[in-house]
Amino acid sequence: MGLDYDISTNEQNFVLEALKQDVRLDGRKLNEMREVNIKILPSEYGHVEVSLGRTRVGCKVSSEIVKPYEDRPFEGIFMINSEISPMCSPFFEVGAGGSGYGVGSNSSQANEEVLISRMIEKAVRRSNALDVESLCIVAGKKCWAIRADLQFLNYDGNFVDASCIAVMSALLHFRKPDIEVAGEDVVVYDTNQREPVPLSILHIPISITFNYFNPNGSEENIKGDLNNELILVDADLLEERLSLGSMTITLNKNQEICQMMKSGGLNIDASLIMNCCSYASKLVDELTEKIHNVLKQDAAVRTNKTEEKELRVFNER
Amino acid sequence: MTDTHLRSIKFAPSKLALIAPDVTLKRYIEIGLRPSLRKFHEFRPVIVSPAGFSRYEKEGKSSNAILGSSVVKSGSTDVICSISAGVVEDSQELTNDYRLRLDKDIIEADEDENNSSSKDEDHRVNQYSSVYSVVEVSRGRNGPPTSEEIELSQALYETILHSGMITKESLNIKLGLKSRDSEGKPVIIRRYDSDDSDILNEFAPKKNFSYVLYAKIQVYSKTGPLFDLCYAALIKALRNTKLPEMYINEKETDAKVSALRARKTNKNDSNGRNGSDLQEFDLLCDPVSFHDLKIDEGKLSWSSTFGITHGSDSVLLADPEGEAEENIFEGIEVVSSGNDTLFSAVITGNIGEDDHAISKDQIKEAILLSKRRSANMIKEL
Amino acid sequence: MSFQTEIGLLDQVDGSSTFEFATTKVITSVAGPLEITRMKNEKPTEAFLDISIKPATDVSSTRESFLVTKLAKVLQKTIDMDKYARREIQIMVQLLSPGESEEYTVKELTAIVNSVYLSLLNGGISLRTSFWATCCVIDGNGEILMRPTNKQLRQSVSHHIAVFSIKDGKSDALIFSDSKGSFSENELLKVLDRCCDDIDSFNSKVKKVVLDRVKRDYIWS
Repeated sequence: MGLDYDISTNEQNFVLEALKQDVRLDGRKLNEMREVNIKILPSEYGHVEVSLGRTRVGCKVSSEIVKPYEDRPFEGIFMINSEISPMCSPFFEVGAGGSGYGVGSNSSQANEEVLISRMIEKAVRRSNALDVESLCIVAGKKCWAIRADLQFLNYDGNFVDASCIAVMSALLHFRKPDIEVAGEDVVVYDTNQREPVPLSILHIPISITFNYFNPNGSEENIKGDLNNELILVDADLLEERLSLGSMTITLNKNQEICQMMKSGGLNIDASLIMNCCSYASKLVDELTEKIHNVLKQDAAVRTNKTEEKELRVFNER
Repeated sequence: MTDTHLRSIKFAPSKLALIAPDVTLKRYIEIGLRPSLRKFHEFRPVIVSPAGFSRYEKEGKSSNAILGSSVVKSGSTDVICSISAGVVEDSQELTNDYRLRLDKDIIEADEDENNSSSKDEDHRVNQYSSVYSVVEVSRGRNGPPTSEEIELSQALYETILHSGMITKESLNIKLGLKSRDSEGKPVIIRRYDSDDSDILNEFAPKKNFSYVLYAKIQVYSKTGPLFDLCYAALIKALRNTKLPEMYINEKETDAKVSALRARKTNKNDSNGRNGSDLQEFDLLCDPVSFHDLKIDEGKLSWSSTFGITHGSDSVLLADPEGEAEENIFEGIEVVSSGNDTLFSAVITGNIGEDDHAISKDQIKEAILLSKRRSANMIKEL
Repeated sequence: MSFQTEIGLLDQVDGSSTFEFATTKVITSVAGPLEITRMKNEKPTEAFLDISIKPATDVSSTRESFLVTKLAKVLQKTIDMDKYARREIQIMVQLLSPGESEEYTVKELTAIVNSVYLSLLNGGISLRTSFWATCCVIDGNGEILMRPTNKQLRQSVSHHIAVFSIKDGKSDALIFSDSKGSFSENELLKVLDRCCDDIDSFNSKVKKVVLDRVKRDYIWS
């Protein structure tokens, strides 16, 4: 069951009234994202923590060598585990929507978890962000399985966008051990023997979620033709609960739409959606830039050590 | 004026033990008795015997997949344990054998510098193996494993692994090769018998395979501490476990080896897991010949459980049994060989209020008793 | 001493903390007392502890379930269970970095117990006593090494974890201990003594981090 998240009528009206006047509770503009903070944990490769305002999501990428699927002998395996635990909010239930325990509860919270999982899955995995063919080692026999475990730590709305950034930056940062193939034998090198190699990432899909409100109530939306719906970027928990509809667009830097979802909710004019898209594409550019910057900074810290090591070895020779 | 007075309700001792186990226990201890009517330090008698339903214990040929078995009885509890095995390709063979390679000196120089060797042989835990056990406490209905069953299974696995009773080496498969001799009769060439090793070296796969042991432990009408009985059953079964010899066909022939399961290991290692597949080899199980599973005899051990009553007259109760006694929270569980070596000790105590704390003397006493018990019981295994 | 912690970092739950020592890192959260979520869990006289432990990679397995049982043993006596009759206390553990191989759980359990303790304090759950955990190994030469690295752990002959209650700034009663490997009686007793001392040495720092947090929480007074 989990806890229910109730919002009093007073609070509802207050938030909505503020939105009508172009004010959000945390002082943002309607089309402003919360500050994205990407933290790479220094101890290992591919462990990233992303915070979007107070929403916090961790992502840890790991690799192993397994046998590929029978029907896809030339492809590696890529999995995303996005089980939401009540840690981020007692609103979620242990193993409710996940494959975990098969409790199979039909509560709306469980549905929400499934929705989030599916969206991340579509945005990252189905858009071929990670080149699975490059993970093949020996066709039909051995391949890499890359696994991204999402850790949902704190919930303040917009899990999808935060986890998308987390998964992508973790994948970009991850290094798998170097290997050498001799016939059918595979030699795996330890990380301190050979520099581990990065994954081949084809593009960086990033999700942007929009939430819709109608200042005149949902009835006007259907009957009237005012088209003055309020569009919010990156809603927090309160706004997410109150919104009348949402849309998630996943784009990459090349302005290609990888995934788009608008399920039900307010009816939105097609031209508004176009505006959303072009606006999202701007945000995506900024975020991609940000991810690259963070990775560059981290790489600078790490390479110093390895360069030293290489130099030292040459001297000894 | 109506006279309201509460009549006292009387319960039979067995009922009171259900409602208020602590009260029952206290009353018994006050008069110097245990609810189970045993002496404080007296264990229940345990009968350990082979069950005799493994494939090598039966008359004639048997296609049974059970390789070792045992039955343990104590009080009304019966525990049946059966051992089966699977085959996996060793992950070791995949790890880097860089010492033969060109960049050998670079790596070694590097290792000297860091004072760290990535050689796995140094690691004690890498030499040991364990048995994956599944404990089923019969409840008269099916369902997912209870937390008690999971706890028992995992405790058995961890205790055996860290005790070092089973070495990895003892589970290695020495592959034979099926071939035909000069008269055209099929023979199986084995590595240890003979001068034919050249042939083997030529034809045998470079990969190594090893057995993975599985145990299924069934418990009927549970009373008292189960870990002790399950542990005894498991060790007894392992003691009479026999592993079949394996060989590969020279040519692709015959049937495939039956379902083989791979177990994932090294979850937390930075290298990630190494895959295993058997598909490319025609691995077959010899129907007749077998060898004993080697167990380190010096590490045979027996587990004893004690409950500790609290209060000023705190006593140690060996092998707590029945509603009142099993309800004691504080306890000590010791796995020991007959001599001074312990393989596991789990102490569950209470916070230090009202003389509830476990004293060092009690720990010593429990260990002493368990050693004596082990010395007596190990010969049963 | 060598541990890092951050208390009260999550705001959707009542109490939370991270705990990091010797490359093992966990984050835990406590929510409660809550309405019971499943009727069958309701206990008429005491609280129901809903504990769940998630590993850093992969989904929970029997290894984590066993950790849950051990953690429950510690918490059952230390949380004031009678105070929360027919209520539920939800304890979530997320491992961030295990810091040890799969075969072992000592370091993880140590970090979990300590982190849960800090989270319980942060969440304002009534406790019957303070407690703290530490772990150690005995190496091939019979030396006791407190809070080992993964390498020391893998080379060790036996490994131990002990949880003690703390009274008047001193470790007091043994709440839980678990030892695996091969060791002697004397070694076990020595280990318990050393753990006692180790916990004492942590005490002032634990007090300080808790005090700092409380000061921040009650900033208006």
